[in-house]
Amino acid sequence: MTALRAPVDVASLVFFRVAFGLVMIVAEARYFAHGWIDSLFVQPRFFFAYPGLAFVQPWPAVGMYLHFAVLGVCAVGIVVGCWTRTCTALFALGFTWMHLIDKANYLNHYYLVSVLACVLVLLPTGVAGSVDAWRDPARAADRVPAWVVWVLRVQLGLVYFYGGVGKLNHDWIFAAQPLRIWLAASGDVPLIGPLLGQGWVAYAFSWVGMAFDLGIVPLLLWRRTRLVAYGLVVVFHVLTRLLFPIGIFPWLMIGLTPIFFAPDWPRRVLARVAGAASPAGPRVAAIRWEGAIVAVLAVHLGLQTLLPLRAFATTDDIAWTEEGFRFAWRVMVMEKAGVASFRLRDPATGEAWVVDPRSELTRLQTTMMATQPDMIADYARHLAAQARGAGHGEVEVRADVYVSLNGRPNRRFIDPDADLARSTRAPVVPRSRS
Amino acid sequence: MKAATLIATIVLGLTSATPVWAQLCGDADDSGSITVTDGVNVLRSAAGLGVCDLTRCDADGSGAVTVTDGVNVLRAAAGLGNPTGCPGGSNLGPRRTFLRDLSNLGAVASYRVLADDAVDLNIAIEDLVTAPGAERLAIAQAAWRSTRRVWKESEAFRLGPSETQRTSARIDWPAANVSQINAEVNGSNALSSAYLDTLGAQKVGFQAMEVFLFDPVGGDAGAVNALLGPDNARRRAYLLALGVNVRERTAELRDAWEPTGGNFGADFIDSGIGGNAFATLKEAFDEVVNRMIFTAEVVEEDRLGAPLGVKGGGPRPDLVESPRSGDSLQDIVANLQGIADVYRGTYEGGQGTSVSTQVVALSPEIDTDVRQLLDAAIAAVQAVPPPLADAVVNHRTEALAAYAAVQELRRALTLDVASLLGVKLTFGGNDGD
Repeated sequence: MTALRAPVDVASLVFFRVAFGLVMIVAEARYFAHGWIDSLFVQPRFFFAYPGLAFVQPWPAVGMYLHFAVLGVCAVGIVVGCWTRTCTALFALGFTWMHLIDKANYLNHYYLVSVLACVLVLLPTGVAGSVDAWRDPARAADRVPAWVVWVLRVQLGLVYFYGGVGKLNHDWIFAAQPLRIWLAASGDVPLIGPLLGQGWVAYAFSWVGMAFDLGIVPLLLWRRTRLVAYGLVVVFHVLTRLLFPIGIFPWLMIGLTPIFFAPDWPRRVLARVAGAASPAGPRVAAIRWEGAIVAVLAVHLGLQTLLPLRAFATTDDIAWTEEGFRFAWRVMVMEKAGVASFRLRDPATGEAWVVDPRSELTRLQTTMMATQPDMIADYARHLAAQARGAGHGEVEVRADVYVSLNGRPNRRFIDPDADLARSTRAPVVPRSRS
Repeated sequence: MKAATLIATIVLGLTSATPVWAQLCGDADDSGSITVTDGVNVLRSAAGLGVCDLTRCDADGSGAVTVTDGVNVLRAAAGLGNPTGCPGGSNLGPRRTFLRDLSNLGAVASYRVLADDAVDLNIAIEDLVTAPGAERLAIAQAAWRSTRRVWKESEAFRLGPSETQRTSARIDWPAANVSQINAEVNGSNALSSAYLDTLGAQKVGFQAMEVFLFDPVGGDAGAVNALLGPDNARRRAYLLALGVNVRERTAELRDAWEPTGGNFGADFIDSGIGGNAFATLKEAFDEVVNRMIFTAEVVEEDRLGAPLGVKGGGPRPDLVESPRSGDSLQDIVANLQGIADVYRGTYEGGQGTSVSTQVVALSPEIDTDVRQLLDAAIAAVQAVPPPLADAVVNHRTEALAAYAAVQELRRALTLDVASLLGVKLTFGGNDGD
């Protein structure tokens, strides 16, 4: 405990804040550049709400554009450290709100952004290298308690570790799937393209990727391997960026992983580049309600540790059932696709009809829904409500859903006889019986 | 610093290198790049003054080293294109080889046949309007069916110029608007091919021709009578203009793909390495697979599902394609045959690399499934008693079985094939992870 309270150089925390903010500026700009604000929040006529969060809805069209503009401004505020805590809090709230509007938009790296932003709100990130510190020297500091840095290390470490745990499955280890599929599709990548279609390369990538996720944190923590480990981080993430469309995630991890270096590393690099050393001063950041903050963060990290494990308690086929799949850092572990249609029947009149979800949902929503049992049930309930609104009574809703997983021929996914009109999770047909 | 240098070297190497296989076709001296020296060597070989391997020097895949190959290599040396036609294929990579075969053996060869058939169709229509009669009508109908079959088969790879130049909409756009066509016939505008170019898609192309060549009520006699005499001069003029227009549009489409014309095929094959058709090879390949799936989807939902009324509301025989000729089932078979040809690589110009080639390398089980589903779907449609407009009411069991077979095929293409090949079906999607 004493070690965790010992003051350490604030420099690496400042670098973390700036790197996070810079990547977030790019992330928000990408929403404008790619037209995602329109396609994800304006065009959809239905949103897949998280349980208990149906009130999280998009603003009217202009409001969503403003929302992202505000997020961008907040990201700039985080980078320069201007009203740092306010900007970080607004960013955390706004980004999380945006991400929670629709289950179809769930991405692990957006979840990571939300988690990090929320954690950063509680940390004294604006006490140095910031407009705030320049404006109010009395609140400026050169050092922070070591636990501040360790919270971020543990958080990133959990992402890597559970990313590796997610790969500990039959398909990944013994069939090199889904990498076998994805690498073969990247045959036009310069230089290494011709190699990517070969089976042994897929196995090599699978095993090396898994070993990387499981082993990179210890390597980053050990001083003697840290530099090489960071080199591996850069190579790994650049390679994944070249091969797969994973947006900002590689840059985020490359930018944030230096938190594992000694806390004064930016100062030493600067000294080497500028030719003059400037050791951290003695001022330690004053953290109000430090005990409470530490307690909250301890609970948070405990939840972060337990949450990814919940799936193991409920299913032995996580990839197929997707029980406990979200918020568990199961990053890029499967190639899954599905098609779904819904059969409705009004028992009072005997009238029956079929609904193609594509007639209402966006392409992304249709794709995401077709492989996730809770979203299938969400949409079934929505169709039942629509039917009631159209003058029908309590209709029955059944789904014909077929899914292919990791290169296997498609199989029926949802029990076709189950009435989903009041279900919260569509019953999955086990793979062995489908 | 050593680690940083190593990383920088790897990253730079990965991002700046040229694909190794792209340098081989045309690289006569095997130096690793295409230079003027290579062009000279190919020309010397064409003149019998040297020997050069076909896999490096037969730049257009013609089977021999010719002066044309030399010119192509010299053009490549000057930065004007990339020769990718060399036989062997392995130096192109499996997917680019597939694009090459689909282009050269599939699209170019099919559009040549289509354009030639359209010339015959135009001649048959000229004969018919010159002296309308049952025999000439039968010849024109046969020419229409034969030309349209080629078109329907080609819909499985309908990409590039047919879409960007909107020729497909001008050639065959369901459904013809009979009342608007009659309004034109009863109007006063001079009916020429140029005038038809100004009209909407529902008044031109094969489907408009069908209005004149087939009469479901009066039969062939009715169709002939509707073309006879001075009162029907404008009907004859309209039909004649349609014949010319389809001939011109199909020729335009063929020329857009021809090496001596727009040479879209070369752009398509060179996607990602200088070609303008698609930014990457993956985009080009994905587009082909998506087009196959889209064709299957159209057959399932529009051609069969809608007339059957599978989404509720009962049968809708009025929604069949080609209602006047009663060719709806043949149209569907041609569409499915087109998909099967792309999947199996059985192109108009000969056997080539196929989607199946890519699938079997990853999953022989799925390849076998898809081949069986293709056969089953075609057989199920052929088992439906024609015409489809009647079958959706009176032979629903057979028609529904055909629908189910096509649905299963589409599902296999969408889920199994596309997933296995890493094909992106969601172009408007978000980042994945």
